[in-house]
Amino acid sequence: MKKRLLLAVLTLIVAVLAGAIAFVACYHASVTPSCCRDHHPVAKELGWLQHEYHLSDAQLERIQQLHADFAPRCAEMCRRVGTQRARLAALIQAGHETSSEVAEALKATAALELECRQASLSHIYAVAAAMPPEEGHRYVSTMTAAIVAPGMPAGKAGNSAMSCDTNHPR
Amino acid sequence: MKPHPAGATPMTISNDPLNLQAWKAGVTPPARFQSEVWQRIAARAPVRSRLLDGFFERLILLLPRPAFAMALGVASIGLGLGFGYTAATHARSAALQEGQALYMASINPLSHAASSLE
Repeated sequence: MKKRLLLAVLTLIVAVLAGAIAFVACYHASVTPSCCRDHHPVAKELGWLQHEYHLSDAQLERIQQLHADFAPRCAEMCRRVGTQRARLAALIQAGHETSSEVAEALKATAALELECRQASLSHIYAVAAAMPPEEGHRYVSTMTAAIVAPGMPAGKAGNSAMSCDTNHPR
Repeated sequence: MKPHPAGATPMTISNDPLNLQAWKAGVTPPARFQSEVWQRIAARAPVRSRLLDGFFERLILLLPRPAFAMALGVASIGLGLGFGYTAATHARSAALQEGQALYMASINPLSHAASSLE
């Protein structure tokens, strides 16, 4: 009986070990995109891009270069927008009416934001050009809808004005 | 000395009437006495505990059999693969969503500026 008990316990241990090995092997084999394995933020960003837009390694390398070139410009614009928004907020909180100074600050903020959107759009076009044509088109639709013109439905930019007219209550 | 109520006779090794180590019963129990006692104990034991004991005994007998051990191994590997795939799918989906959010933020200076003001 003791021998049988020992054999039974051994069988259970082997079965549990086999299950655990199968779990680990399947997990690592299934988590394929590099963004899931690498914990570095840039690797996650570009890993997602490669996975989502089916990019080859050469295409990804080109996009990685564009991304690296755009990063300092993006950071500088971010700093300028942050400063301008803080200045605008301070002016608005200090006064009780739309003074010429507040109006100027509003214009300056809008101009800076426009500049940022234009820079983002240029970068988006440059990245799309490094992708296969269909994927590039999809990329532009998604990114412009999310970043350059938030609220615009992806891929339906041409119809948005018409749908506004037809849905307007009369 | 009083006679034992069950008819037992004390040994004469010691004069101490409480010397139980030396005491022996003079009456022989019925032949089925022991088995009846165990039957009564078994009848009083909780049904659940008896079922569990039976299950474990059966398991201990079955587990070392090659066919049963093989089936258990296959089932365990199958479960491991299934759970591994499910966990990987969840992890992949979460990582891709995070990657997308990070990428969108990385090319949008306005999102950085908004978060830096908060």
